[in-house]
Amino acid sequence: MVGKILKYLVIAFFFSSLLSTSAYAKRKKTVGDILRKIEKVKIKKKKTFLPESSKYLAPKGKVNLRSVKPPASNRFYYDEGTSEQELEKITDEQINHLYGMTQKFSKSKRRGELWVRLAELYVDKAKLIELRLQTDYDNKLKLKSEGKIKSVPKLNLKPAEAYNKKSIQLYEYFVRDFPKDPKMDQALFFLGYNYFEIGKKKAGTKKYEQLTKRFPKSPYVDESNFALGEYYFEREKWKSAKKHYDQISKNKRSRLYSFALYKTAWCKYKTGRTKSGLKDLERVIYEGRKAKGGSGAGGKVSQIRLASEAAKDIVVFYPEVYKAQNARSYFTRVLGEKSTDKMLGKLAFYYVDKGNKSSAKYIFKQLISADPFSVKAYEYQHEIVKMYQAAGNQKVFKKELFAWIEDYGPGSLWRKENKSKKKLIADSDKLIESTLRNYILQLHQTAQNSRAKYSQKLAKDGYDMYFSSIKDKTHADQMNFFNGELLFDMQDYVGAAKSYNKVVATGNKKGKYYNQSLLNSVLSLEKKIPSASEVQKIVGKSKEPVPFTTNLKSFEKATLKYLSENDKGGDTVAIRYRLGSLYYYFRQYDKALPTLNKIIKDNPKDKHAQYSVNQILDIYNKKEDFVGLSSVSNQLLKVPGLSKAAVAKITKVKGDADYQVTEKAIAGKDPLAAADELMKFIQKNPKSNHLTLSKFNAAVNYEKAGKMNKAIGLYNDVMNSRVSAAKDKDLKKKARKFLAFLYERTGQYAKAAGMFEGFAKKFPKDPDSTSYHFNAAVIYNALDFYTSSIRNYTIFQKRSKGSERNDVNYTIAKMWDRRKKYPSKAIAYYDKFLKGPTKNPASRIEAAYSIARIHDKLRRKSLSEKWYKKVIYRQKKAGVGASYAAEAKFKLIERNDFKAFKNIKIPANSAKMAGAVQKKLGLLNKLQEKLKLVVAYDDAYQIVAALALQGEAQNHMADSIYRAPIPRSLKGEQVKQYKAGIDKLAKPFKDQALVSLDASIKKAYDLQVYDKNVLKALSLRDKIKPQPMVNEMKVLKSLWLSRAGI
Amino acid sequence: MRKILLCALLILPSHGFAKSVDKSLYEGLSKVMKLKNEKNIVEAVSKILAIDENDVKALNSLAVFYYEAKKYNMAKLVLDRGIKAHPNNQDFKNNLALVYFAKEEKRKALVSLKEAATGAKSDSEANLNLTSIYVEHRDYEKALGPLSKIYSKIKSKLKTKSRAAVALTNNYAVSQVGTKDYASAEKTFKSAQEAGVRDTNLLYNYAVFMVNQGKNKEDAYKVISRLKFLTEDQKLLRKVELLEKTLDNKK
Repeated sequence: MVGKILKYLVIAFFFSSLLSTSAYAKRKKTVGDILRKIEKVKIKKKKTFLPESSKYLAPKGKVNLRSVKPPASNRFYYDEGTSEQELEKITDEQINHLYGMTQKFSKSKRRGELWVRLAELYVDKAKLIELRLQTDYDNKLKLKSEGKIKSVPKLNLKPAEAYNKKSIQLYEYFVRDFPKDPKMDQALFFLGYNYFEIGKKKAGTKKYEQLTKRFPKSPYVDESNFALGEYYFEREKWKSAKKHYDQISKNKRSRLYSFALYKTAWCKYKTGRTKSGLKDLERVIYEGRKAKGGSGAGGKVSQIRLASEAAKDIVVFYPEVYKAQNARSYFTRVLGEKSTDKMLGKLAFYYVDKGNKSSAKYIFKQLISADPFSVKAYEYQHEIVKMYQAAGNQKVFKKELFAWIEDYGPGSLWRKENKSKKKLIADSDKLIESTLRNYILQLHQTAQNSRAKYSQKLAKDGYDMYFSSIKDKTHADQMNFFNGELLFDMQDYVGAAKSYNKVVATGNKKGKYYNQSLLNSVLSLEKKIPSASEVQKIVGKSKEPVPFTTNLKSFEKATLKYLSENDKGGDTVAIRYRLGSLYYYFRQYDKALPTLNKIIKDNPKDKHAQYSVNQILDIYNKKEDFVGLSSVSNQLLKVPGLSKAAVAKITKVKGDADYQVTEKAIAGKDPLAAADELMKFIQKNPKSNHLTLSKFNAAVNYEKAGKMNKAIGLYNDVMNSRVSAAKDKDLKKKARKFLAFLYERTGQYAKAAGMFEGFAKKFPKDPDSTSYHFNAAVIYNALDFYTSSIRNYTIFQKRSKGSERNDVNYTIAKMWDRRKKYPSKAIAYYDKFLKGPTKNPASRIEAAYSIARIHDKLRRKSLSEKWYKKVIYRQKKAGVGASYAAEAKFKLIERNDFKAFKNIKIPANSAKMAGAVQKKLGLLNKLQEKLKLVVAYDDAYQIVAALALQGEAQNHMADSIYRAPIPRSLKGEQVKQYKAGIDKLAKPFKDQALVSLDASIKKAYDLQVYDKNVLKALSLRDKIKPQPMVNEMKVLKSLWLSRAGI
Repeated sequence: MRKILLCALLILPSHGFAKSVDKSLYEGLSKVMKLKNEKNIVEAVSKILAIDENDVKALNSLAVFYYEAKKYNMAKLVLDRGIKAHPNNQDFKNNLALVYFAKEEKRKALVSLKEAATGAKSDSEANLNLTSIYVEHRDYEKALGPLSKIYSKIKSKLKTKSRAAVALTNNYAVSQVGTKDYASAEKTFKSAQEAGVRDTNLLYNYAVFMVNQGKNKEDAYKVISRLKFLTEDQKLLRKVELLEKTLDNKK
């Protein structure tokens, strides 16, 4: 039992030791197991979008320059620099004046001239209003396209048309009242013109046709042709338009000559005759140059302005006719050397717009080489860079970009040359920086989208170049931040952290990237935190604080910086927890505890609070500071707002801790004190998970302390408890087991038997169940509960083997034998036993003897003798069980030899008397010889019995002789003599009998044999030679129980 | 045979603890023993054994109860346990002997009884029982020694009419007669008579002695007269009458 108690104390210790070790796998759950289930925190890094590329970088598509139109014709009515406002003012004054005149002379014959003059002014006024409205409309369109205004502008020319209508009215009056007036051609022209202006094209055309037919030589024919040309030009009917323009350009003196030529050039351009059109433009330029040198416009449309416009338009026409390589000589020839570079610049930009990069680059490079230190040179190279960047030719772009940075950046010759132009230098630096920055960010964007390593490398190279070449720190935060982002994506977390830290190092807390860098630095370094298995390797089994690795130190530093500036909110809790848990894993408990506690205090409802709870509890657990664990559990339970799960866990751990405190407290204590301590725990923690274990251990200790009743009560509690945990179920089972023994030990045998049998039935596969059936059987047997006993013996027998199995037959046989009423069952089991194996051969002899005895008692003479003989035979063979063999031998002699001897009667017939005596004497001798065989077994009881029987036989012999009938023939003295002779014959037998009986009695006393044979010998001896008085006296032979003081 | 584990359980689990059974528990046991109620006795015994599972009084009482209830196997089971725990305890062995006698296993009974008597006090039950057997089988020589010692101790108890004292005195006297120490025998018988012993068997033996060895017939008649008055056993009465006749015939 001691062994069993120790076993279960070891189990109890095992439970406790689990809490103090670091190996948890496949063990029952303990405080540590519960606590160690720590969820990993994942702080997700937010994706930061790269800034959009600046306007410089907006990709340019090819422009359909075929859709380009020349400026509206009305612009050409005024010389460059003319003030339309002033003109309109003057016109209004004139209208007012003339209008007054028409009113004043409304009935005058010359009123027609006034009408025509006023009508002309109305036309001028309408043109000026239209120009103004058109200009205003164009401006608004520009603003709209630039997004500066929201509403879509509408061109409303009604104010101008109002004047056209007034003009028509006056001209119609004039045509009606003065059909033969020399200004009729003029009237028809302006009627046509005004009708066109107000949208009455047919009426207008009719008036123009009347004019050309009726007045073919009128100077208004050109005007009408131009108007008709314009009419078709506007409708993109290039050929029809050209036809009317051609009518005008035939006459070099025409006011509209250059204008018509200019429009003809465009009509040719539009119809694919660019080279011819270019020639027309060259002519317009020539005419303009001539006009500039001349006296003035002379009423003609501004030729200078037309020439200026034509010079611009050459840039459009040229690329379709000639190569870029010839541009310089062409422009020098057509426009003069002074304007060449300017026009080449425009051509280059035109090439850019047209998407002809090589030509554009050629012209730009030509211009740069022409004046390498000029401001323009720097801009042209920038244009090349932009062009290739927009085109996406990275290789060329990169080359041109680097060339730009190298040739115009800090340290370049260009820069030295222009060092006095501080604004220029500053602007160039800014532009280089912004271009490079945007380029890098674009690369980064590509890398972000594609995730391709090549793209990432390109972007990284870009950043490296930026940092090496750009000294301006204006955008350093942005670039460092995005460099960090890139490196993070490239999984260069340490590099990323360094980059983020550069942003943080500026200390510019209001900076756009500061807070994010602060966080991302933490998140980058967090990636370098070793895995759980790596931590395990680093920390090993150390119970002392383990210093952080370099990366972890960086993480700690970054995290502390982050937390110092972000006390609450956002990812603060997760980050704080990460640091806290690292302290925890590295056994830096002094740092871990305040960190984790702050999480719980500040964010009790957060999941990290629960994790923190776990770790705090585990710290105490690992330190095996169960008092502290209990105390901290109490403190944590007071924190408001903790989740139910956390509270439940703390409560459970507290219970476990209290149990561990108790376990520690009882270590080394004597069992009684230990048990009492456990009872205190049970009373304080009625819902503890360790309740069953505590009760069990208290029971074990009480049992050990000798307080078995208390142990029984607790074991009963454990046995009857409702538990679900496997370990508790096991304790229940053990409690049942222990109870059986305790009942037995406390003398409650019936209960013990019931418990043994109950356990064996409930746990038939338990290794002890078979033995417990046996135990139950033994107790039931002793209690004379035969049925129960046999039931258990039978189960035991079925589960046993060999001799052990067979020995049960012997036990059951004895049980039936004892009951006396079922001799056949007893015999059957004895017989069964004898047929099986046994390790106790003496029991075989006893079993055989028992069968003989039962038969004997049932007066089955032959069967009993048969079995007595078997006893003798088996004893002889086995060499054990001499007493049974001796008794069997004695019984056989007694019932056969002695009986045969006694049965011989000595007849009265004297002739037969001697024979009978002789025969009887022979049997007596034979009996005595046989009794020697009994004595030879050297069994004290049978020696006494044999001597007593011998004495009895001798006495019987003597008595037989004495009692022999006196022959009738004898008379008187003969009888006397006969009797004397008889006495002489019989007396020796009597004496021998007395000797034998005395010997039997003496042997009995010597060997301390006190049984019926001794009494028989005494009785016989009394008959032969009575002892004075004592043979009459009564002996008080009661047997006295020892009551041991009760 | 896989022997029952019970015996193994009897080993003391701890020897280091003093086991003090409260006196009241014994008193309680003593009370319930008189009532002979198994449930109560087992309960009382278990209270004591819960403190000391080898308590002699508790175990012996339980065995005595089972013996008296004729549950001899149960008695033997408990006694075996007692002997295992207390190998030198004569009470257990004496009682075990009685169990054997009850089970008609005389050989084992005598062995146990002799063991019980070995080293036991002279007035122990074992000695009492053993001398009883000696006397029954007229082994007076063996009986006399122990009997004389016991007698000297229990003589004073004769006045209480203690059955044991009476039986022992009777057997002592018979043994004295058997060894022909008539003077002592007379003294023994006389002391019993003086103590007012009313046991008819003892008085009969005294009567036999007085008739055969007595010097004062009057005294013999007194004994016979008293015996005749006390006995209702007709068989004994006839024997007494025969004695009276013998006395009458005696000169």
